Amino acid sequence: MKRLLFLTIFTASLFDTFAQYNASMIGFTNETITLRCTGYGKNASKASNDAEISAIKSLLFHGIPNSKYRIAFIQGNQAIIEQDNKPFFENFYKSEYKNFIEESVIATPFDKNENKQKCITLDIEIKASNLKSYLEKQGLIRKFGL
Amino acid sequence: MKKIFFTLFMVIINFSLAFAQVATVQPKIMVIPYTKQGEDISQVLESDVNKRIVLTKIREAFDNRGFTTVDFAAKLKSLSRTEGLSINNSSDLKSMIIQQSGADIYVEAEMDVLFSQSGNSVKIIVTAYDISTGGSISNKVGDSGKFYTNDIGKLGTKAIEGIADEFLDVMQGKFTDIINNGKSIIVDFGFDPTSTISMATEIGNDGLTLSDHLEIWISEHAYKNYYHIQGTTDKKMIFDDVRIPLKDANGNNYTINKFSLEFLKYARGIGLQISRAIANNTLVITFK
Repeated sequence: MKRLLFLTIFTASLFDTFAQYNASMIGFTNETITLRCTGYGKNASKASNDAEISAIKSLLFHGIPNSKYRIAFIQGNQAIIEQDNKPFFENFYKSEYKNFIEESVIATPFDKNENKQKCITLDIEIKASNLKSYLEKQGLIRKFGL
Repeated sequence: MKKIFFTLFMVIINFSLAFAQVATVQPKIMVIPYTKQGEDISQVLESDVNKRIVLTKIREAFDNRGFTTVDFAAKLKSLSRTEGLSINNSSDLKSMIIQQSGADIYVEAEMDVLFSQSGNSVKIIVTAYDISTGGSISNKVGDSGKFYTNDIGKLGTKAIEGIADEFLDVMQGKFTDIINNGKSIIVDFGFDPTSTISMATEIGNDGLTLSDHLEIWISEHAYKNYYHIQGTTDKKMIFDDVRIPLKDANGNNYTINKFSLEFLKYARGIGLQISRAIANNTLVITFK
């Protein structure tokens, strides 16, 4: 039992987790970052979309600790920013975000979890550099300065 | 009739666009080498090409983000000429350059070269300081890693390239906070020695003291009502953090000077004479 507990803690410590969006960092490069994220939905497609959007939101509003993308791309209150830029984010979360997903690989297939929730876990590689440039062009963030 | 409406519409559109095009005044940033107490900053720069390489790489990082920095070398030469500095006061040169450069922020880079049999490496400490407050805006330590090379410039470059983005991201975080929550200024209210009033003097007909009036005014004019009172005495009232917006209601750039002008109008309106002085981010108002 103690061994199991130790193993669980040790394994968990290998990843940086962001409870809000169930995102864990797998790895990063100068251009991309790969996050393991769990998504929820009625079917695999909806759950996959949920996982991908959660990964994107982690990068946008929270940053990824111990990575090049430690600092959130968009700083400030997420709810206020999304509300103030509603048309942009509605379109972005609907489809535009997919342009910045390099690859989504199934880590845990679609199934019910221990809480009977239908979910899927994906390893999602995000084109972080391109995403940042896109946000700068859209005026959501500044390249540098006031 | 249609022509009149169309013309009016175009005038309104152009008017709106004119307001939208007001560029925000950007902070001036200067990159300088780290110097120890008593060291001559000009000698430090001229004698070590590797330090010049490191400074150039930092400036390049700003350039890559479309941001132009103040040229430190040019300022150094200019000040040396105009001030006619001698060797005796060269240790104050750094402070003088910082104060007279017109820069709002200076970025200081300290380089440490480590030689070993298992390879050479360079560590760089980069710190950005707000000149008006002395506060640190961003700090990063870069490490080139060990290599069997004597090309210190290349190692320095590697050390900088590993941290430049994050260093600038942290600075941008502070700028974003200013955009969202306003720029911080200090407002210091005091009295001329010959003044007959004090903070406890009742001003106007509503029984409020001067200090009450001042707090009400600051609370109404601080951006998002953000202000902090450091302390109040009979002869002094200091607001050590008052936020002012970057733009006014018309979208024009808003400065500490404009803020002080608004207070001047208010003071005159309640029959008070004042003088104003501004240094960096501090507004000193003296009641006569």
